[in-house]
Amino acid sequence: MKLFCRRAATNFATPNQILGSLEARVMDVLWERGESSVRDVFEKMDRPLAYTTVMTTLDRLFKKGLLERYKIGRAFVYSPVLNREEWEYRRAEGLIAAFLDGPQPSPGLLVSSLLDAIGQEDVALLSELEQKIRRRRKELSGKGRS
Amino acid sequence: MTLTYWPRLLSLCFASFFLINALAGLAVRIAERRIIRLAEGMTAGAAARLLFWTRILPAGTAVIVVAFACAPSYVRFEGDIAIERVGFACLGMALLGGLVWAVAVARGLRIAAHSAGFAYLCRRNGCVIRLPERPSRMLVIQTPRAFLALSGILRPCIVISQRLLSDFSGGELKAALGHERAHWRSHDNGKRLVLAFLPGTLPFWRGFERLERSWSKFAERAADDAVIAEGPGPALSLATALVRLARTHATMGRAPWLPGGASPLGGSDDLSGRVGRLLAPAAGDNAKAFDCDRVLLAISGFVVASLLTLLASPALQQLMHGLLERLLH
Repeated sequence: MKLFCRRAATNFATPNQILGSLEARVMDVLWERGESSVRDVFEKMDRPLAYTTVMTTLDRLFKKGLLERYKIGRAFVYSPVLNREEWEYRRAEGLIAAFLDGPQPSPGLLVSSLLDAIGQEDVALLSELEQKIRRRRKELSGKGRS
Repeated sequence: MTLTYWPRLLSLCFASFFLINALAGLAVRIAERRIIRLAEGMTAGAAARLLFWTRILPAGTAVIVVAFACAPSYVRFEGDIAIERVGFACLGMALLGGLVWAVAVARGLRIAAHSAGFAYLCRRNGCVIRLPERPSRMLVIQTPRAFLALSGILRPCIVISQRLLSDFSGGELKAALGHERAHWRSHDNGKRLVLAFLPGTLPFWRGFERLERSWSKFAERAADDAVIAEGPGPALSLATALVRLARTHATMGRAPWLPGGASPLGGSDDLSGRVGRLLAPAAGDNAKAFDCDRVLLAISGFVVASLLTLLASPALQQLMHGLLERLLH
């Protein structure tokens, strides 16, 4: 009987957590093999580790929302929630978002950005500017035709 | 408190630096509004240069006077007095001078490290697109945020979010890249680094925020001017790109990061000003502006040369030594 424990998908909001080296290796094994039991992963590890260490690591990754699992008999079978590409994509996104959102006050960056911050209170102004742009575009296209 | 020769010289240097930097800083602060008003009458590029050098002036003057007058005159006229009593006022000022530098260096290092971290993340997670003109690397970052920026100093690259890349039309992207290239040509990120490391007037009070904000504003306008020079079409595209980007920021809420450690630009005001200039460049401040770059350069050259000549004269050095002795005791 397959008992699904899919808390992973709902838990997996921002994968900006950095994986430890053991966690990363376990994820590598799961991405290579697909669905695996604790024993499968344990046998694929490239350094001697206790079976319980692998089991705990898999459980931790499940709790972090990176893995989903179901039970066959008494053993859990784990599989990654995201494939490697999706994980890398979301991780990059999460890391950069976390970086840009940084602690207040903003420490600043040595970058020349196209536009600095603008608040929500400026929406009316933006509409006005868009109108001006439309008018200017009409003027320019009129000149082009004549 | 009695000090030996080298600690005494060091204390004097820091104390003199603190005194001159604070006085020059206050003078700049008093004249700040007038200088900014003067800058308004210039081309954006010249205005940005004027404000940048004005910001450097207090610390720059203090460093020049300490390096070319205080230290040499003390070494020359002090003689072999091994131990001498140093007053607490001098020690206090030396401590404040040291603190001013320590705070500035710590701030500069923090901003540099933060920026290096950002550049590393972008390099690691970005998709590289080769551009035909320099800076030739554009990194596309997968993020729901909308941003476009020139990052890096030695190996600069343009960083753009995937979202903006898909939102911008070809013309808008070209104009926006032209704007970032102008920042690269005028070494604006290098200038931001210099500003980050510049000491403030007092250890925990920089006192030049308005000047730095104005510099940042004129640097943006100068980069816009490079696009305006390409014709009304690119200028219109840049205006559209700016408003599109602002619209995204507005819907996502205030962007928490700001360039160069500067305070917010008061975004909307300058967005309006920038779009106005892009849509009607002839009616903008360019028409009435005068470029006094050469005049400024000549005046600064003359002032620095006169200062160095004066400071090198033996009579002045002797006078300086007398002043230093007073400061010391």
